[in-house]
Amino acid sequence: MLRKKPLFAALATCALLLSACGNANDSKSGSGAASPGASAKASEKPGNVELRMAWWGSQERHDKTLAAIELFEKENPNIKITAEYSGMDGYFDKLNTQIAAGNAPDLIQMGGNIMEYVGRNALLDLQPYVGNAILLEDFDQSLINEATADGKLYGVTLGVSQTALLFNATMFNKAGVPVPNGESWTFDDFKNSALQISEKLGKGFYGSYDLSSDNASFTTYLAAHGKELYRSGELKFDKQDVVNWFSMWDELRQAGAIVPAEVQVANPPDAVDKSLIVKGQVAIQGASASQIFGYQALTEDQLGLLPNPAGPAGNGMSPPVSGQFITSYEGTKYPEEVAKFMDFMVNDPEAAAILGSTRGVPPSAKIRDALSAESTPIDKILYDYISLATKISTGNGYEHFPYDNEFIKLLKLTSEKIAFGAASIDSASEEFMTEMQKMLARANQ
Amino acid sequence: MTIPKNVKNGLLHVLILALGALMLYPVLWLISSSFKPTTLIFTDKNLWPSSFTLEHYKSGWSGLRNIQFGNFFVNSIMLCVIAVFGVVLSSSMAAFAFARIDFPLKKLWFALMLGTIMLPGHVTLIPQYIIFHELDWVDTFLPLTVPKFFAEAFYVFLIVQFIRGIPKELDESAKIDGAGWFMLFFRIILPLCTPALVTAAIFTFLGTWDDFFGQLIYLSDIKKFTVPLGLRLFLDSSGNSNWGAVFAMSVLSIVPSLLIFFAGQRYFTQGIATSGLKG
Amino acid sequence: MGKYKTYLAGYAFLLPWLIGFFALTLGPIIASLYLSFTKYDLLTTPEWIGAKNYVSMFTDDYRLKDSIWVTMKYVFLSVPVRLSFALAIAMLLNQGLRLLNLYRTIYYIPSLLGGSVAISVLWKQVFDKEGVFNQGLSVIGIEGPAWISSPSYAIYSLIGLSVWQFGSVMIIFLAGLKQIPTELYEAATVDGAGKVRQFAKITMPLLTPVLFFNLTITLIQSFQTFTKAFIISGGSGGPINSTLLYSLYLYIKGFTFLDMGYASAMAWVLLFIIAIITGLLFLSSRYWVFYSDGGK
Repeated sequence: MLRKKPLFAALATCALLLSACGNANDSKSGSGAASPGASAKASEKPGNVELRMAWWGSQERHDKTLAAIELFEKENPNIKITAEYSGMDGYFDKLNTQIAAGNAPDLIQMGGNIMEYVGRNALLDLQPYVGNAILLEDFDQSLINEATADGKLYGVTLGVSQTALLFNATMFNKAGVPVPNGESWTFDDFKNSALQISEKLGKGFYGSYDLSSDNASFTTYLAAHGKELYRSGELKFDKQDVVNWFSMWDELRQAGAIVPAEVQVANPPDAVDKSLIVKGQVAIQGASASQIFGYQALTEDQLGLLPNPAGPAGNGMSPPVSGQFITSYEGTKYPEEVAKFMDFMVNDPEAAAILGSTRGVPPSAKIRDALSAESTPIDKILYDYISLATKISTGNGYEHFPYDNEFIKLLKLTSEKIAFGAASIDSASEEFMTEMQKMLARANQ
Repeated sequence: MTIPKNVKNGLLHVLILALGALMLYPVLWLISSSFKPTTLIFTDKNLWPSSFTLEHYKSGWSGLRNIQFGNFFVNSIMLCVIAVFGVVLSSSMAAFAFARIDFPLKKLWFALMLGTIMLPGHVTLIPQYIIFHELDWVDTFLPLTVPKFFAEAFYVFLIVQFIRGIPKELDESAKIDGAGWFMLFFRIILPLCTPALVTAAIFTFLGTWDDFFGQLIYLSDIKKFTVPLGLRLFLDSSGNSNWGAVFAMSVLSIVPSLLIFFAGQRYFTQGIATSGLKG
Repeated sequence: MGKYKTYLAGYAFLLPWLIGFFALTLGPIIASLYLSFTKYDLLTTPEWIGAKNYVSMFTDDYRLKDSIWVTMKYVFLSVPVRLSFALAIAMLLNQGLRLLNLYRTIYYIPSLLGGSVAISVLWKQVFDKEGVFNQGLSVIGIEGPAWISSPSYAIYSLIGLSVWQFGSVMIIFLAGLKQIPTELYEAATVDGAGKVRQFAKITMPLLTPVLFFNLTITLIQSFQTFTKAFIISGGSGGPINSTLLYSLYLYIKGFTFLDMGYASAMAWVLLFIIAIITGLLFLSSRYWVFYSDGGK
């Protein structure tokens, strides 16, 4: 130990000096800390503006976004954007921590949870910039509405997506089962297809994943039966709907048409590389439409997209939703530059060519047309699906439940209890309703 | 009939190796997978790759668009070295005070110190982050290094237990010889609890190397990222996770810890001969 | 040395810890106590609600019961097994065998993987229904269950992970064994004491400070296990809450459900429980721990 100490001391001193140097450089650049509570205002007008931008994604998205940023910086030499990107793991934990301390980035990629942040005054009001710095005329009105509260816009859609059922066409063919007609198929058709596929292909092959734990499928099911999850402070469904939902899946489970509980836990559908649809063992699963790229890249089988089946009240789907938004932190010091970059991301043709569909279908109709010439077959499947979904959707658009995360976990827990036989459908549904009521009560306090 | 020593030793070796092989199986699987092409990783069940490739090491190392994985290694190593130095020095000092010196309120401080280990870290995260934010230390390495110089309860406790295993007569004879507290600490106590210090060093290295959450929230600039953060850049639940690269880089990231461990081993092998000091 | 000089020396050596404690630790700890009496969602300011969080914990939380039960199972199974393994192997390796360095390293490597993200995949490969572990079991005619994906068995795969990484505990035992002066053994051999007697009268008593440390620390840490459960269950604590360790649940409440006030309350309840258990351990230590410095 005594011999090691001089070595340690030398190393440590160097390292400390290095990190001190690093710190000195950082404290000169804009730290992004701002006073919360400041409303939309004119930017301070310095020579150079530094923005921080955060997003999550895979390597491909990082590369493309960085390229787009480089392009923007070239065209706007007085604006520099520091990229803070990462995988999905921990993204929101870090963001929440930053917001709690008043230290969030200027540009923030946001998902379907945007309203949680709007409701807590964490995001910048973009309404003043709509029509001048940010042009949204080519956007579907529903996309704009999704990010609007009290007449104020809080986010710009980066990519359009839609809930969908991802299916393995090759498996359908192998089983000799015709691929259903998306426009007209019903829940009965769904059940039949699933049953037939698992019968024809035998043990270890299943018609569908157990979607009873999937919140998108559940809420769409409710809408397809004339009900809804939540609107204006009330739950718009009752216990019987829950029982019906789980009973339908239990029927399929007993008949061997869907993935059994243990197998589903071991091979969750949302882990793209472990998904059984990629392995050719399951024919249908729930997904967000733009995820088809990831799945198709991992298999030789032909994959496709189907809308949810229809119930008595139509198919219950909402018009296409935003996969992701770009938003800004409420306390940003440079709202004008932020707005400029947002517009660049969604309206600039060169940027669109670089970004492609990495966050979903481009929201601007003009851009979509411009890109259609270079679209791949999978792009085409996605675009066609979005058009179809737009055409046939009958729902009113979802109103996000205030305790979305808790609801999602609760649904999963309930589904697992039933699937593993740990509780009866009736008692599990009862528990589900009780907990949902409790959450509602908390929300309405 | 007594079993001859050779046979007994031989059996011992066999037992140890067998158990060890069992323990190591998952690790061997990891290493072997890092050399298999992506499509085979989850489908090929054999330990020995049926098809050998270095592509994961290459693609993992070249990292992402503007940063190489080697960068992450350098950052991690730097952090760990500083942490080890800080922790060992400050913790042994505090341990010496608790174990050998009598001063008022000692018991209170010890109890408080142990108390700090008992609170789950997640709930002090936000207040601590706010403190570092006020200091303007966010997105630097400071929040991850400076606290290490203020002792860590776990290691203080560990070293205390070791120091208390050292007989007090040594202290007495040193004091009679005129040694002050400082000399006592550096010349006598520290050398005698070397195994504990080396243990603390190794654990600190490992703990700092693995600290995902702390590094996640304090480091934003990609150039400052460390190995755990870098590994997760390859994973994204919405697209393909590049598992091959994750495995390859995980295997590489064990190497520094392994080296440190090897280097520290000899401090475990020496028994302590204290008779020399009595003379 | 004068009495005051001694006091001064004590505080001088303690100074680094004291500075850190008051500057960086105490504040956040008190803040978390305060937060436990508030409703705090990280994004807006905390709102005082009195003891409501604590009351909800004990009357209204359908997941908490599961979580506490799972945590108890985990702690009281993994700690003894881990300690026993570590001590047994440490003693085995302390026999002065050749290749000692190699063996020590082999047993420590699992701990080197720590909370690596690769572990989630690794562990599934081994403990999946068709994983290697079950393949091994089938050789002796047992059909193993789906260890990781079944609610009845998932917790055992977690305990298995904890035991697999016993290397760090083993290292501490080894260090403790090496600290025992060799002349004691030499003198005992000269006096005619056999190996077993030497073990009982020299090794064990002199090892008790280290044993006490390992027991206390392992207990405290296992109550707070988070990373393992998070990695194995993909952050869900499933299936059916069977891997919902207390700290994981706390994290979900605080960071996923954004109910940081409640999570803080959970943290303080845990601290209370751990403090009591640790206090009892310390009290018991005067009866079985032997310190060479003559103290208790």
